[in-house]
Amino acid sequence: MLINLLFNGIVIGSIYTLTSLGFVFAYRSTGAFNFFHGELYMLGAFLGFVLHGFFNLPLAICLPLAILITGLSGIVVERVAIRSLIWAPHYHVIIATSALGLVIRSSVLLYTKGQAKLFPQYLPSKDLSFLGLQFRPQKVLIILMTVCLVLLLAIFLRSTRIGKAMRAIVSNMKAASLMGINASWMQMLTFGLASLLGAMAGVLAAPLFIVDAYMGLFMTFKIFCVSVLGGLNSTIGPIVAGYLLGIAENLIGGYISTDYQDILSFAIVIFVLLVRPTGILGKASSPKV
Amino acid sequence: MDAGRKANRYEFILDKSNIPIVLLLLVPLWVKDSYHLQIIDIIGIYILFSISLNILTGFLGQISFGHAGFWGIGAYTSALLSTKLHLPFCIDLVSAVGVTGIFGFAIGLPALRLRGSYLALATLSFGLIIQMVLFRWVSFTNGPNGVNDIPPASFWGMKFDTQVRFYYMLWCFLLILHIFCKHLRWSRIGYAMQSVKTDEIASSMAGINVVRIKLLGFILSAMIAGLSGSLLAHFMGYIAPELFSVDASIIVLTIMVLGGGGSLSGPWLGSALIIGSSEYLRFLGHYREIGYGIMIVLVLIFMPQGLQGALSVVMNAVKRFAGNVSFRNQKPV
Repeated sequence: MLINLLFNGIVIGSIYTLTSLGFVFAYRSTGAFNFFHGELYMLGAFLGFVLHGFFNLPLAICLPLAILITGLSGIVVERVAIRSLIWAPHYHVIIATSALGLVIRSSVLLYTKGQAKLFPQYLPSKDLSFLGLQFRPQKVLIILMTVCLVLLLAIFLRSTRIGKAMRAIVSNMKAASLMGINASWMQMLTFGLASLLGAMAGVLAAPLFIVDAYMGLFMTFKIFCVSVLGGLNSTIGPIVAGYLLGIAENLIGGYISTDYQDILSFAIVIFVLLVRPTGILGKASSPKV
Repeated sequence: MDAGRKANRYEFILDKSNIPIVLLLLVPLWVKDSYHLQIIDIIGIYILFSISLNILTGFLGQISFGHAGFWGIGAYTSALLSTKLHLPFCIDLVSAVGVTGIFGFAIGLPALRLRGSYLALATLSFGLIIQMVLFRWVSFTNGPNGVNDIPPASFWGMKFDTQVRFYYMLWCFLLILHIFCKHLRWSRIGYAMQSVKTDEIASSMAGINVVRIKLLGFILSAMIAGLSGSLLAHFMGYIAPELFSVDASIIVLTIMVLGGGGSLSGPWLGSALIIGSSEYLRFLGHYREIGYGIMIVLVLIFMPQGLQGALSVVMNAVKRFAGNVSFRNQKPV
């Protein structure tokens, strides 16, 4: 039982990690709180479903295509909503991205008319057996893919020119621009990267859960819990916090009751914001006078 | 130039900007249909609600993403006191205002050290927690079923149970609050709030007690939100936790931004536009929400001052034309 809970916690934690990693990185790059990020998760899953169902393309083509299109829409959102509001007060960006999230949610609602859809399974449904326990192959895939993606991301950020440029912008935008890095371009690419991660999380998680228009909203709340917990200022924070939250949620759900899962998440957020607003792994920054 | 300095304090009460509000007294003479009056009443309640957010976010610059939490506290306090304890309207109104004010203080304290995104997250969590508590504490708040049969507001035996009567009671509250906000904005506290909004550190160095101003802002804002919630409960006769969701917080924030944050006419214009369009365009279904979202983004990009900005451009043009004010002395509406 405990092993099951832990395993499920790691699975869900992987999803939280993928989405929050993109979100936090995008936030650090542009300074903008993207309330649209959860919708990217939903869009990835939903586009995969639509492309498969409507055009009858094989899943091997649908899914990468869905991920690409979602990545592009993330870039569009960045150009439209975030870039234009760079000089506006903080909350304008939040409102604008929430509004775009509403637009996407309503568009999806127009199509689904409130029904939830079942996503096609792309792995054989026979449970894998290991040490006497049953695991759904989809869940194993999620964990493996997350580990691969995080490693790839780390390699990308450390070793490639573009990755280093992105890190430079995140760390000190003015200095990086003075060094000749096109900040605007890098921010756009960072958003694209974040959207791709979010979309991949959506595509990975969709066969496990049903696809409906409110997936994005649910994920947005979880993303912000994880980001606050892990620290908006750190890169590793969302990873650690994502797994922590996933495991904690499942443990609470298993041992106490599933009702209290959400309350736990928000209690954690409040506690962290009161005690250590920069999160468990965030670097504290003092206001400059 | 000191745009708001008045010769004596009574000039705030007899100001020119009261004229449109006094003209609103005549509305029920034209609009007789109770459906339309109901929508206008709801707009009025939202105006009160967005005035409360305007004080916190517009004047003081503290972003609040969970303002519906205060609304819910006020509404539920009023509803529960009048249904379970059968207290008269006056008492449950004042209690709602008081209780919400206390919550405002409780939220304001931790909010003192949070800025920007963190404050947004904290207030968002507050709103969500209030909604969750309202949902799940079934023994106290009746859970998802909400509170039914809330008696209509009544003062000294006169019941405000029709739309018209409620309209006039609402009008009194709105007029008083409008004068209050005007007075607040151009007073020492108002200037202190604007200063804190612009630059907190510089304000504290200039001698402003930032802690006191922020707490004052939170308490005041919460109290007015509680007032609005209480009126909502007595108007609708029925409240449920769904009303006080993040959506409601985002709606009132949108109203404030679209109307023009930090201004006096902003909440009025914003509420009229957004609540009016959301009611009258309801038949469009999901297309309405799509249009709504696109409109918000467009207004935010191209008209960040909101409707109030457009209105003050027009008013200043009129004043310039009349020779009353030079190009430099224009003030926002």
